[in-house]
Amino acid sequence: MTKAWRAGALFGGGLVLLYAAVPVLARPAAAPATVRPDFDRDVMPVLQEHCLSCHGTSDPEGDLVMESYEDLMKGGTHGPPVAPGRSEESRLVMMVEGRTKPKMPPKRELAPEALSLIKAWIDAGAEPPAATAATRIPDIKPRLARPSPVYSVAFSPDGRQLAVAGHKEVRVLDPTTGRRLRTLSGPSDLVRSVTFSPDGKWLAAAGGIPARSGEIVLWDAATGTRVRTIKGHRDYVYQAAFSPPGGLLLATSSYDKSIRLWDVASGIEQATLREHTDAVFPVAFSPDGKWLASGAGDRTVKVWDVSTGRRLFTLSDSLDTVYALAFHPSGRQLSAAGADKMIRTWDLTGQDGTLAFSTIAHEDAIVQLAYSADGRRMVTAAADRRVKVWDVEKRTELRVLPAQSDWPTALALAPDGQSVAVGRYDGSVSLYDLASGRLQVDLLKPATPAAQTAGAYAAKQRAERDSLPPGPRSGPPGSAAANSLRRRERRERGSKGARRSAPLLDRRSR
Amino acid sequence: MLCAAAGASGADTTPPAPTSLAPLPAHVSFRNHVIPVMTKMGCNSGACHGAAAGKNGFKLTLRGYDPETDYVTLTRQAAGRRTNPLEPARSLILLKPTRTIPHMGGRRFEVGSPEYRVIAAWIAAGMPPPTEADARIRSVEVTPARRVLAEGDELQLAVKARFSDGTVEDVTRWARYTSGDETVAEVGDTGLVKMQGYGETAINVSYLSQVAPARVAVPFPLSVPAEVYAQAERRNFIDDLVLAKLQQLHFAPAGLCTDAEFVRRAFLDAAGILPRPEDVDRFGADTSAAKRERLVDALLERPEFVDYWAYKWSDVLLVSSRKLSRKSAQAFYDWIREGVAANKPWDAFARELTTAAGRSDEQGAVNYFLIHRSPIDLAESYTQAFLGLTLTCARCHNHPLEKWTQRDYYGFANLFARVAHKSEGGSFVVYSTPAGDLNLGQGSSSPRIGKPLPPRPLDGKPLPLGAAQDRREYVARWLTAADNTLFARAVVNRVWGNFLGRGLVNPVDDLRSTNPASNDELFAAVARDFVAHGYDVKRLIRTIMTSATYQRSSQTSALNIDDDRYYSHYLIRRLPAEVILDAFSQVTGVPEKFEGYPLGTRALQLPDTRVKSYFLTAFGRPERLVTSAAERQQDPTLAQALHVINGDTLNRKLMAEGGTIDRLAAAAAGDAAVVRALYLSALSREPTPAEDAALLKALAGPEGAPAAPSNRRLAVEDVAWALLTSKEFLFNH
Repeated sequence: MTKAWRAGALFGGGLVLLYAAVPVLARPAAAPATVRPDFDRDVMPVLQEHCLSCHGTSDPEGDLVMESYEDLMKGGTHGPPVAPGRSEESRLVMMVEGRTKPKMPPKRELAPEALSLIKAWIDAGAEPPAATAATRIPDIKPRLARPSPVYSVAFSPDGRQLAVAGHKEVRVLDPTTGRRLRTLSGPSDLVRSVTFSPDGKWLAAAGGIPARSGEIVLWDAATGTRVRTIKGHRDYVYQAAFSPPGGLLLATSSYDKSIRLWDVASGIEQATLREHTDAVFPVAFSPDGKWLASGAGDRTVKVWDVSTGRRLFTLSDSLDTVYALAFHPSGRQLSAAGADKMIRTWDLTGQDGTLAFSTIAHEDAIVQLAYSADGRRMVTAAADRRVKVWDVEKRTELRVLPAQSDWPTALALAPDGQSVAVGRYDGSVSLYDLASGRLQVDLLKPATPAAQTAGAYAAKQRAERDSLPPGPRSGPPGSAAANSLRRRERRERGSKGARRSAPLLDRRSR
Repeated sequence: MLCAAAGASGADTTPPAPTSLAPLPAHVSFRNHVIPVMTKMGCNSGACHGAAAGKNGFKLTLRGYDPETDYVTLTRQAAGRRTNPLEPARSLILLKPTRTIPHMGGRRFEVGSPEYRVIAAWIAAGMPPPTEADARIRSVEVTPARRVLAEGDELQLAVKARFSDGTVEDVTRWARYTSGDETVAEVGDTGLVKMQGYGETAINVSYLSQVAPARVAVPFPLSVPAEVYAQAERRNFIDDLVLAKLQQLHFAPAGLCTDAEFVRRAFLDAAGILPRPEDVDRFGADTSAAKRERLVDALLERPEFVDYWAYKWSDVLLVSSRKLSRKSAQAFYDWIREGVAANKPWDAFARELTTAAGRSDEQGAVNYFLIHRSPIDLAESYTQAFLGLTLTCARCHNHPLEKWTQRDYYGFANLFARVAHKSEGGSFVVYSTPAGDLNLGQGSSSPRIGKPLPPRPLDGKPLPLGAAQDRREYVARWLTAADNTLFARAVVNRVWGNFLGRGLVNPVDDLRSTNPASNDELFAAVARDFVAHGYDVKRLIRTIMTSATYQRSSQTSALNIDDDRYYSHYLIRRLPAEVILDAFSQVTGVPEKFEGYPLGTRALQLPDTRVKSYFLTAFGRPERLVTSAAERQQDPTLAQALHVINGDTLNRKLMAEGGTIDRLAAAAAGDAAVVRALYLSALSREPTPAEDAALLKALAGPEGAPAAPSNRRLAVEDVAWALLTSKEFLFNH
C-alpha cells in the first residue's frame, strides 16, 4: 500500500485550495475600511480564554453560559448580558469595567484591546457569527453506504409491531417476518431510543443532536401521524420511558446530566431532575409508576419519587458507568449493569435499596438489560458481542444466544415472553426464541462486510487481554472472579448441567 | 450601513461556506494516523481528554497508548455520540475541535485542515478499527540528526516514520517536539528550531511510541586554536571523545592539576578519605612518570576503598535497619562489602542479588526482598537501582515521558510475585514459590483487569503465566544480558558521576530516553568498554581516574568557565556528609563516637543510616527510604554553615584532649611545623608564604612574645578551625 497520499492529497492543503477557489466577494465601493467585528473570530476567543472556566455548560455561575452566541444572548439569572447596539449599558461590559460588582473576570483583567473588540461588536448590533455551524459543516459522504446503527428496538404492547430506531426515522416492522409496516420520519439525527406507551397509543422516538439539543418525537401509533416534537435537553436523549400504567408522563435521560419529565398530552415539561454529576443513560419507571430509576456516568443509580421529583436514595455500588437498568415486574427488585461488566440487583425495601447480589456477567461493558414480563428471565447484551439469558430466581446464566455480528446495542423482550429482539450496531435486527435461545428470524440483514468487521478486532484485543490465566490464585473461592472463572471453565468443558448450576454471587448467603 | 454592506455574511474576512472538500484520502489507519493527529492536537494530553478522569465525560488514553480502547470510546461509547458514520462531518470529533460548535478546549484545528481531513477520511471510510495486521511503527528518523548552528539560526527538522511493512511516511507535521534546554534552542509545533543561546541540547521528537533526538548546538563565541586540542593531554579513549566535544563547542580544556591536587582529589573520590601528610609527601617525592597510575592502583587496594563503595552501593540498595533487624542489615551490608572487596563483576553482583534465597542472617542479599516486600516496591526500586529508570509513573497511568505503559509496569512487577518469605528462628527465610501472581484490580491505581498479566521484563519476552520456571532467574538473565545496554550504562553513569562531579546523564539515575547524555559517544564508549571487560567496576574506576579528563585542573579560564557538563575542567563539589565528618576526625585525631558502634568506626563504615548523627543529617546523608540519587542532599544550607562554625561536632574535636591539636600545641617543633602539619593534613598541600606569614603572626601572639601554654593551644585550635571550615577543605577540587 502506498502512503503517498499523505504527502500529496492530504498535505495538498485542502484548506488553501478550497478557499482560494472561491472568489472573494466584491466589496461595495462605499464600504469603510474598518473590519466588522465577528462573534466567532473576535469575541469568542476572548470568552474562551477568560470566561468559560466558570461559564461553561456544566454548573455555570449565575446560570450564564458563554459557550456560544446563542448561550450568551440568552443570558442567565440576571438576564441577557448584552444589549445589542448599546455596549455602555450591557451588563457584560459594565462588569468587565467594574461599574457593576463583582468585577469580571474575578482574577485576570481583560486586555483593553479585547474589551474594545467586544464593545465594537455590541455597538455594531451584536450580530450572530457570520459563519454558522450549518454553513461550516462540509458535505462528506460515507465511502460505502451503510445502514444506521440500531440503538433501540421496542415491541408494541400487543406484540404485533416492532419499532426499530434508525437514522432520522423509525421503522415499524412485523416482528414475525420483518416486513416493514411503516416508516416514521421526523427525528433530526440518529434515534437513540424508541418506546411505545403502555396503552399502545403513542410511539416516542428520542435522540437529538449530540452536544447541542435533545429531541423527542411523538407519533400516533395507530396512524403514524406525527403528533409533536419536544425539544428541551441541552444534549441528546439516551432513553425515553412512558410512565405506567397510563403513560401520562414521559421521562427522558440525557447526556446533559439531567432527567426530564414531560406531560405527554401537552408536551410541557413537568420537572427537571438534576442530581447526577455525569451523563444520564438509562431511565425506567417502577411497574406502579411511582418511582423512577436512573443510571449514569457518575457510577450511581438514583431512585426518584415521581410525584414530587425528589430523589429517594442513591445506589453507589457500581464501579463504572451504568448503561442499563430495569425494575423487576414485581417492583421489588431493581437491576442495573454497565461498563464494569457486572449485573447488580438490589432489593427495594420501602425507602431504600440493599444490594442482593452481583456478578461479573460479561467480558466487556453491558449495554442492555431487560426482564421478561413474567419476571423469571433476565436478558443482558454487552460489548463482548454476547446476549445472555439468566434465570432470575436461581441467579444463574441459562444460555448465550448465537454469535452476534456486532455489538448488540438494542434489546427488547416480546410482551408474551416468548421471544427477544436484538438490534446491533451494524444495522441488523434478529428475533430469538427465549426458551431455546434459537434464532427465529433475521428481521434486518447485517450491514456490509466492511462494517461488520468494525470493532471485531478491538473486541478480540480486549478479550485476549482480559482472558483468564490458569493457576490457582485467580481470586479467593466464592469471589465474583472465582465464580466467573468456574463458570467459564465449565462452559469450556461443555457441561450443560454444570453451567446451569453455577450460582451467581449471593451476598446474603455469605 | 455597515450591516447592509456586509449582509452577504461575513464580508471579506470570513471564508465562505465550504460545501465540499477536495477528495479525501482513501486509506487512513486509526492506529497510525488518527491517533497521532489527536496526540499532536493535544486531544489526549494529560490536561485534556487524556486526563485520568477524562474531560466532560470523554476520556481518551493518555497520548493514545491504547488504540483499541480509544477506538471503542470514539465509535461506540455513550451510544456512539462522538462519531456519525452516516454523516461524517456531523461527528462530534470534527465539530468540537473545529469549534463549529462550542468546545471548552477551544479550536484545535480548522475545517479542511490536514488534521480535519485525516479524521474525516477515516470516518467516511467506515471507521476501520485498529487491526492486528496494521503496520507497526519501528523507528522515527529526524534529519538533520545533529547540526552546529549560530545563535539566532533557524532549522526546520524533517521527521520520517518507518513502519513494519516497509513504508516510510513523512510525519513532520504530526511529530511532537520538545527542547531539552530552551535557553539553547526553542522548537515550535512544526519542528522549526530557533537557536536561542550558546551550548548544546537535544530536540526530542516523538511519534507514536517512538522517540528520537536531534542534537543542535551553538558553539560558544570563543576562539580556541585547533592546536589546543591537538596538544591537549590524552591518556585514553575518554580524552579523545571529551576533546572532540569540547572542540565542537569551542571550549578549551584546562591543564592537568598539580600533584597535590591530584593526591587529595584521588583519595577523596576513590576512598572518601584525606591523604595523610606522609601520603602527600611520598607522592610529591615520587618522580616516576607513572606515579598517578600507581597511586590509583594503590588506592583501589585500600580497605577504605571498600568502605567507600560498600557505602555507596548500600545507598542504592537501601540498606538500613528501618525494615530490617540490625543483624539482617549487617548481613546485607557484609554481603555488599564482600562483593566490593572481591571486585565481584557487576553482572554477577546483580544476578546474585536478584536470585538470592535463604536465611536473612546468613544470605545477606536476601534482605533486599525483605526491604521490598511487594512486587510493586520491587519493580520500582529495582529498575531505579539497576537501570536508572523511574517506572513509578506507570503504576497509575502510562508514563508521560517514556514508552512504558501500565501494562508494562504490571507485567514487570509480576516477575517478582513469587518471592516469598517466612519467619524462622528469629530471622526470615526468602524463597521462591512455584505459583502465584500479582493480582490486579484490587488497588485504585492498578488497571481494572481483574487478573494478572504475564510476567514480562521491560522490552523483553513474556513468560507464560503457568510457566514453572523461577521468575527471578529469568529477570536476572534479562537484566545482565549483553543487549540490555541500560544495565551497564546505569552503573557506569553512577561511577562516572562520582569522579567527574556530574553524570554523563544527569541526574545520575535518570536514564530515560528523553534525557540524553551530555556526550552520547563518550557514554556509549565507556559503557561498551565496561561490558567488554566483564563488568569490572575497579577497571572502570581505573580507566576514569587515569584519564587526562579526570586529572584536569578545577581552575577555569575565560575559554571554559561556562562549561558545566562537558568536562573541560574538574567540577568542584562539596564533600559528602560522611567524608567531611571522617575528615574532621582524621585531621583532629579525635574519632567520632556512634552509638552502638565501637569507637574508631568511621562514618563511611556504618552499615546503617539509622545511626543518630546530627552532623550527617544536616549535611544530607540519605535516609535510604527510596532508591533515588536525589535522596542525598548535596546543596549547602545555612544549617550546615552554622553547624560547622558554631556547632559542637567540630569544636568538640578541636577542644578534645589527646588529639592532634593537643599534640601540636605541646610540640617543641615550632610554629612553622604546626602550620605545615595542619595544611598537609587538612588541605594536602604546603601553605603559601603569605598564608605562612599570617598564621605564624597569629600563633606568635600580640607582642611577638611566646604565649602562655593555654593561649597557644587556643591559637592552634583557631588555625585548625580556620582551615577545617574553609571552602578549600569542604570541597573537592
